[in-house]
Amino acid sequence: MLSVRIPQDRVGVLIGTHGSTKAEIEKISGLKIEVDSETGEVIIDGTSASDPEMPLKVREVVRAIGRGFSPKKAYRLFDSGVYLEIIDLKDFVGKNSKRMKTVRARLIGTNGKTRRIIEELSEAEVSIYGNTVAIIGDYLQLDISRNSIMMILNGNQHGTVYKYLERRRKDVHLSRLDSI
Amino acid sequence: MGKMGVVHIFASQNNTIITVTDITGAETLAKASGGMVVKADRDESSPYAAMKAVDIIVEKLKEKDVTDVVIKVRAPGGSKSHNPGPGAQAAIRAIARAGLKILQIEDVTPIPHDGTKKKGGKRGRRV
Repeated sequence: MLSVRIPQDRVGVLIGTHGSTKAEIEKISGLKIEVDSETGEVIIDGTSASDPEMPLKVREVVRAIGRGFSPKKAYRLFDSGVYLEIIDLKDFVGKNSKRMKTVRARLIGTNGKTRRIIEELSEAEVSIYGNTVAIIGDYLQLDISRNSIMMILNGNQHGTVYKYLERRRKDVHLSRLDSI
Repeated sequence: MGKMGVVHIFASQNNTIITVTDITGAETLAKASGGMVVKADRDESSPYAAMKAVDIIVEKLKEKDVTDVVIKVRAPGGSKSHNPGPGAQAAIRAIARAGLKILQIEDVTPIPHDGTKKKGGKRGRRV
């Protein structure tokens, strides 16, 4: 039995039209999930799981959807070796709401350019929602995208970050060869 | 029928520490960490290190005739991160694959009921 709480405006996404997304998650995992649409509390009943890891995976999927990912992207977490990482921007920015705005804008870029480049070059999924940045990817993809996000947070210029991403690109290619 | 044990997995962003105790939790049967199996400090928390650490554990548990385990996973918790590091998932999978019977998985991350202030200060983390 596991529980997570997700923001209220993400509850609708988790449930889907007429409960389609929730039903799909239940079908893939074989578990029952219970959503309290008033508080956003999600309870995952793991007693019927055949795979011992499944309840934890479902919790990660729910958490990812709660952190702004579309269900389609969040389903990547069902694969083995794919992890979710949530970075709290408050740790870096502190309590200044104006600076939070700037930092978020720097991460997203003009029309989402920076976020898109990080996603494309590291092959991880990145979501910036509220005061958090969430990343979905395997160990290497997480490492690369986390580093580049840290660089932006520490005030590096975007160009430097893109150069870093290009440099690490070959590691991503190599890891893909490994998996074949 | 073998004995039952409790596998405590502490998965932080920097390391994965696995301790196996008997059901009382007072007697340690085996322990291993990511740092014991890899050379580079930055690899201590990697899924690979966690799998290697489980190998050490499984060997010791075989000697001690432990076949059934309850898993307790935790992240640093408290005022620190509540998300377990990448080692946790890998360790659980390795335990399942090694043939130990998993009876239950629990999340035992310490959750503060309003505890101490998070580190970082008013202006956040600065480098």
